[in-house]
Order: sequence, then C-alpha cells, then structure tokens
Amino acid sequence: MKNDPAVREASQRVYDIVLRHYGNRAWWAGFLISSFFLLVLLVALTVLFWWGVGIWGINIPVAWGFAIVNFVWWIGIGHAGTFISAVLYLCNQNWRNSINRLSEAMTLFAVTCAGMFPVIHLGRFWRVYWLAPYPNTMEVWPQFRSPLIWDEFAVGTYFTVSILFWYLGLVPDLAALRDTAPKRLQKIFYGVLSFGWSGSSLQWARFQAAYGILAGLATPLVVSVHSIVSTDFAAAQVPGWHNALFPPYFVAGAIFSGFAMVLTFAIPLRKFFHLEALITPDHMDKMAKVMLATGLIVAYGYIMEGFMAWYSGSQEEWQLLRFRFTGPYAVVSWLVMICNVIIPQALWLPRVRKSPLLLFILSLVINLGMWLERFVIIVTALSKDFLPSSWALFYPTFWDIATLIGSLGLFSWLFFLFIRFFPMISVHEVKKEYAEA
Amino acid sequence: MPKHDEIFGIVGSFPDQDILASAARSAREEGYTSLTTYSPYESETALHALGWRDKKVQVGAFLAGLLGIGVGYFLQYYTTVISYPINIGGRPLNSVPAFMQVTFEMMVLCAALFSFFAVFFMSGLPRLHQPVFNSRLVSGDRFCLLINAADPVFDREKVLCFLKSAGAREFEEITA
Repeated sequence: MKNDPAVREASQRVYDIVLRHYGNRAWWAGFLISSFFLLVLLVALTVLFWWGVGIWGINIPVAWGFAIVNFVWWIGIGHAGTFISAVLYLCNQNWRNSINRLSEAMTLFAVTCAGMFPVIHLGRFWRVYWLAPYPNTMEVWPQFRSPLIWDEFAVGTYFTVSILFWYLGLVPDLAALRDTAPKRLQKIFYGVLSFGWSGSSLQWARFQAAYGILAGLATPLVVSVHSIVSTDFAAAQVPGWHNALFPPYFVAGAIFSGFAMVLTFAIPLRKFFHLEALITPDHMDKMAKVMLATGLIVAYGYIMEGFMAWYSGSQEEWQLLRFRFTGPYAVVSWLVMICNVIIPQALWLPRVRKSPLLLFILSLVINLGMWLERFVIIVTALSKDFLPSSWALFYPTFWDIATLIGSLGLFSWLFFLFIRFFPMISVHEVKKEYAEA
Repeated sequence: MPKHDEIFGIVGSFPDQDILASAARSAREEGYTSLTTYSPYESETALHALGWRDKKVQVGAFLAGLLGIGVGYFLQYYTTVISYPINIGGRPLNSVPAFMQVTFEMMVLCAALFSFFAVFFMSGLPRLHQPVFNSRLVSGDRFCLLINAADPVFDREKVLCFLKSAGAREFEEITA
C-alpha cells in the first residue's frame, strides 16, 4: 500500500475540499438544508423561551419528555467518536485513522446538541448558572450527591477533553494547509490556528506523548460519562429505572447508536466527495462489526431487564414490563425490539456489512431505534410508577418534535461548517498508516 | 552567494525515515549538535536517532491529574462538610462513593488540559513566524534534517558534502 496513488489522490482531495472548494455543489446542498433546519430550531427555542416549557407535552408524572430523551440520545451518539479516536488508537487499530477526525468532530457537535437540552428544559433557564459551585448570596452549593450534578461535570469534562483531543490531532494538518494554501488569507487563518507547528521531531514527540495520554484519559471518560448519564435514571427508585444494569447497558447502546450516526454521515460523504479510497468497504465492515457486537450487548440488556422484572418478584417491575409491551406505548416498545435487535442481525452477513447502501439504511434504522429506546425507558417508567393515582400518559407536541428536528439541523449545520474549513480526514495519520503498511 | 552569517541553516531531504535516522546519527558522530529533524507524521525512529529522552509531558500530566483529584474532592468536601452541612437521614456528610464521580472527572480534566497545553508551550509554540517556513522542503511534506548555522562546527561546504554522503536527495539553504 506504500505510495498507493489512489490514497495520495484522496488525501490531496481532503485538502482541496478545504482550500479549493472541491465538491462545492454537494457542500452547498447539505449546508443550505441544514441551515433551514437550524432555523426551525431557532424558532422552536424562541417560542420555548417566550411561552415556557408548557408548549411541550410534559406533565406530572412525566416531567422528563423529549428534552431528556434527546439529551441522552445525543450524548450517546457522541461516544462513538471518542471510541474511534481513543479506544481504537490504544488497540492499535490503524483503520481508525481515516474516520477518527470526522467522528471526533461529530462527538463535539453531538455533545453541543446534547448540552443544549438540560439548559433549555429548565423552566427558568436563565438561572442555569446556579448549577455551578460558586460562592453566592443564598449561601447554597450544588448537591454533589446528585447524578444531575455529576452529569454537569462529566459532560463538561467530556466536551473539553474531546475538543482538546480533536484539536491536537488537527494541528499538523492545519500546518499542512498553511503551507499549501493558495490564498494569503487562508495562509494566515491556518497559520494562526496551527500555532506555528513545523513538524520537528521534538514537537512530534510531545504530540505523541500528549495524544497517548489523551487517548488513555478519554477511554475511561467515555465509559464514565454515559454511566453517569445512566445514573440519572438508575439512582432513582422508579420501577424500570432502578436497575444496576443501566451503566454498561447505556454505554453499549451509546457506542451502538454512535457508530450508526458515524456511518450515516460517512457513507454519503465518501460518495459525494470521492473519498472511497480512504473510507473503504473494509472500514465499513469493521464499523459494522462493532455495531453488531454492541447491538448484541444491548439485546442482552433487554433480556436481562425482562428476566429480572420477573425473577425479582417485584410486582411494580413486572407490571411496568407488561405496560411497556402491551399498553398504550406497545407499538413504540416493539419497534425498539425490531430496530435494535432483529434488523441489526443482518450485520452477520458480510454482504450487508460491505454494502454502503444497506449499511446506510441500517444505520438510519438503528438511530431511530435507539431514540425510541430512550423514549421507552424515560416516558413509560415515569408514566406508570408506584402510585396509581399518579399514572398519566405523555403525548408529544408539535414543539417537542420541532426541537428534536431542529437539533438535527444544528448538528448537520455545524458538521458542514467543519467540512468546509477543516480537513475531515486526518491526513497525517493516514500517511503514517499507509507508509508503515 | 549569501554570506555565512546570513544563513539560518542547511536542510537536506531524505526519501524515508530510516535513512533520515541514520543521517541524524551520522551527524551527531560528525560532531554536529544543533540539529533538527522534520517529518510529515510522527516518527519515533528519527527522534531516537537524535538521542532525545524526555518524559516531561507524561510526568506533568500525572501531577496535573493528582491536582485534579485534590481540587475535585476538596470542592465537594468543603461544600458538603464544612460550608453548608445538611443532615439527610443521619447519613455521613462525607459521602465518599458519591463524591468519586466528580473527583474522577476533575482528574481527567486537569490531566487533559495540562497535556494539551504542554505540547505547545514546551515546544516554544505559538511562534507564528519561523525561518523554516521559508523552506520549500520542510513545508513540503518530506523527511528533512536541518543543521543550524548556529552550530559551532558549521561550515557550509562540509555540511553540504555531509548531507550528500548521508543520502540526501535535495538541499536547501534557509536564510534567517
């Protein structure tokens, strides 16, 4: 694979997308569509801030509706990027070099979308700074024994570490853009952003040390962040939530849905920007295998939840399981099983794993299934808790759906900006991978 | 002909990192001390050839992690035990298991912040203008060896001769 011309051409194309606007039409199409959905989000947020959270379908007892479903879903999606960047790096899986930059960028944007929801779902979102431990005239501090405060620190750390890791890997490519930029403005822009990186071995040595450390830190971080998010539910007593299985089950689900989102973006990108030489069927095959494995862990989680609901002898737990699969939300629960357990079994077939089209459709199905799973976990458990007088159903409103779709718009919009201004594939790592092959 | 003291250094480019590494080793044997190697990606071979051993980033990150643990735990301990203790069902104020989450996150945060900034500050960056940016070879994505004019044994003809014998394909004089 040394000096494979297709690889060199594709690497040059990655720079050309940024410097010479290669693939301009495809980019503008994606950017404009994303901008439209971003506008939907801005309208939804304006209405929310004016009228309050009553525009959503939340009620008592289902006080956590779409906002928290979206929060958990987006954070989960972010985990694939860190898994690819950090865990696969530590396991010396060099195939991750073509996809780690764009999936790490996805993590940043997914965490941005996720972080928006806990803020906007507060009735008085302008008081969000109360979450921070600062000395105040009320002489109160945040409750450090609460999973919600753990979330604040975990998600905040996750966002910061992800940005640092992503940016560190970017610097050598930004320096290469500075060196090859045709226009002076581009040279200055990338020159400033690359801090004067010259590629000397001393710089590379420090780079390598820090990169390894960040990868080593990000790995337990990715496990801890979604475990902490799962304790938002697991630390409560409500049947269906108070489950010790949640931390590993949520983390596996996060990587499952995250890889699905990576594929949802990577497959069209490789086609429209002609990067097939860098994101090969082999890459897709390996990503599909990770999805299959994590999907099986999620399926195990479902089986265990069901088994424990029966085996524990807890009437409330068993009743909730029956409510989920035979009650008003039965369609949703069964759809979750179909989308997350049954359909992904197609990934056992190599033909499916290596086909861009089938994998793309499957990734959309899994994204949907994982969102619905978060919905089932949160809404059904709140809807039917201990006290019958508290039981009530949740119905989403137009604004719930608009905010969700708008967050997809924000995500895509940020992603298209990223593609325009930064190399979406880590060219220096790809060069290293192919030189040492 | 540029005068000797206007040259920043002479750079030679090599076809791959192994030849660069052996050239760097030979350069040290010849008595040159002010050397820099450049590569388009991480290259441990070239670095070891320069005889460089340094674990400052790793040690610093470890210490930063310890600091993070201290800060994270102290923050929680102070607020819940000293500043505003609230008796909840007689449970211990110093809730060690519950405090572990934030402590862990603060450790990761401090270690990560240190590692990131250490890469740049320890290498003297940001430094937006450097003489090597004028070099076609160094900016051109090649394995290069630069011998600085500041080196005590620097002699233009000898350096060019040496680089050629070490296997360099292209040469360039960089002006400061």
